[in-house]
Amino acid sequence: MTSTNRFGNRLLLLLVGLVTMAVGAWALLRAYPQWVTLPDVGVEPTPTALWIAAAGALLVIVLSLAWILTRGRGRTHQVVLDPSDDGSVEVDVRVARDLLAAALEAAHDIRSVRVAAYRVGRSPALNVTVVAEPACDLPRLRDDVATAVGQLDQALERRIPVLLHVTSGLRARRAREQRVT
Amino acid sequence: MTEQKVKRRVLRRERYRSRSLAVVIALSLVSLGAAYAGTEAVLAALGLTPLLIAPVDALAAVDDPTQPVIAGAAVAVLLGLVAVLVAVAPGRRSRHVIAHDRLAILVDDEVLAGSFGRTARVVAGVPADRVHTTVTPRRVGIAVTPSSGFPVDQPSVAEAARQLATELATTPSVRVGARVSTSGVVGS
Amino acid sequence: MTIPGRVSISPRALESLATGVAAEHLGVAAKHVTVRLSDTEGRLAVSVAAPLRTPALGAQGDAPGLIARSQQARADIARDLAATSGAQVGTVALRVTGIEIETPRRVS
Repeated sequence: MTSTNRFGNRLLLLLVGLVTMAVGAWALLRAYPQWVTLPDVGVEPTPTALWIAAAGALLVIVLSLAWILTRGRGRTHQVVLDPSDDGSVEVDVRVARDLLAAALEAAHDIRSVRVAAYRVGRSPALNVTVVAEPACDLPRLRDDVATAVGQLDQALERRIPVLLHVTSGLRARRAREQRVT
Repeated sequence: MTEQKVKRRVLRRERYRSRSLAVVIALSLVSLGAAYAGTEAVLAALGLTPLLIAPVDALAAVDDPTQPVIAGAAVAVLLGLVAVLVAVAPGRRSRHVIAHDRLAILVDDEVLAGSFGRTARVVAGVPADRVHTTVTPRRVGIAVTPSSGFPVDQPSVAEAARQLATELATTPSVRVGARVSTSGVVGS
Repeated sequence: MTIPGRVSISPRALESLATGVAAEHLGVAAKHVTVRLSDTEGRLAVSVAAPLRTPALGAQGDAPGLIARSQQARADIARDLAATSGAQVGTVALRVTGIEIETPRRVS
């Protein structure tokens, strides 16, 4: 649910891939001049050209770093902000976590609940990750979580968008093997 | 953003890989190459001895490639191709969306399989290790191995599975098939 | 009857006072409450970060919602702090950092 620019990622990969292929293909085609004749590039580079190349390399490194750092943003701890002229009330995501985890404690087929908040667009949204038993009753699990979220809506006096991700979890599988039934 | 828009956007994004890892790997390799090339360029511009190859020799190597250069070029073409394929491939995650009014629900295919398996197990009356469920984007396949002497009614299993599929209303929608093997296993 | 003189409160003491007032109105222990005091146009700006004591989801019944209760707690804190310290309270920003689930007492 992060704000990663996914289309940008793919565009970048496409660009890098095509350029790399082109450079490799150029060298390969030079080795086999009977296919295509390509111009020479083996002239002694002038010092200016060398400095420009070095600057270009630095730019590539800086831009790469910049792009890598723009990934994965969007996580927030604030799910509600209710301002007034004499202050404000802010609700931390841990409140939603505490309430939902407690409400789903006794729920069937739910091993654990994890709650995180992200900014989607400009408003906060919750990411509820539920680790379920391997053979679970999905309709019932769905309804249990929906009921808990409905109650959360009442408590917070608003509906925050919620993503429910039901997973089995590697940890869950190992735990099952250790459990004595 | 309206609640519905947020829901749609989140589900659309979470169903596919972000390609962030691939980008980090690709940019790291590119940066390493750029760092090396830049260093060689600076050394050459300053008239110092090169680290490995002087730029002029590197360009000459491309003009008249020897075996190692050809090998390197082939590797570059392959790596570039991999990057292009990763960029273009959809990268669908093995998850299904479950319809719901209030929540955006994503279920790992593993969990979905478990749920169908459970339904089959209950209806067929066999232990869990006699049911094997496979989930693909558009299909759920259930294979039941009965206990010898206790036949399993295939239509009931298939019907129960179909009802579960209707109840969940997944995206992409799945067709359910239930198969009971003709040979059973003794005991349960 | 007013007695002439000057009351001086150290910032530490004021903070302690604010912490106590906040803890009382939020229904939690003072050690879980963090208070930061600053100035806003000459008046006191109070920043409170603490959990809130509420019943579990589903057991809320007709009780006012979390936000309403937080707003009420905020107002109560401002009023009581001003009353006990004599300081003019400008703003109170409350950040609810968690929930202490109120388990209903069993009558045996």
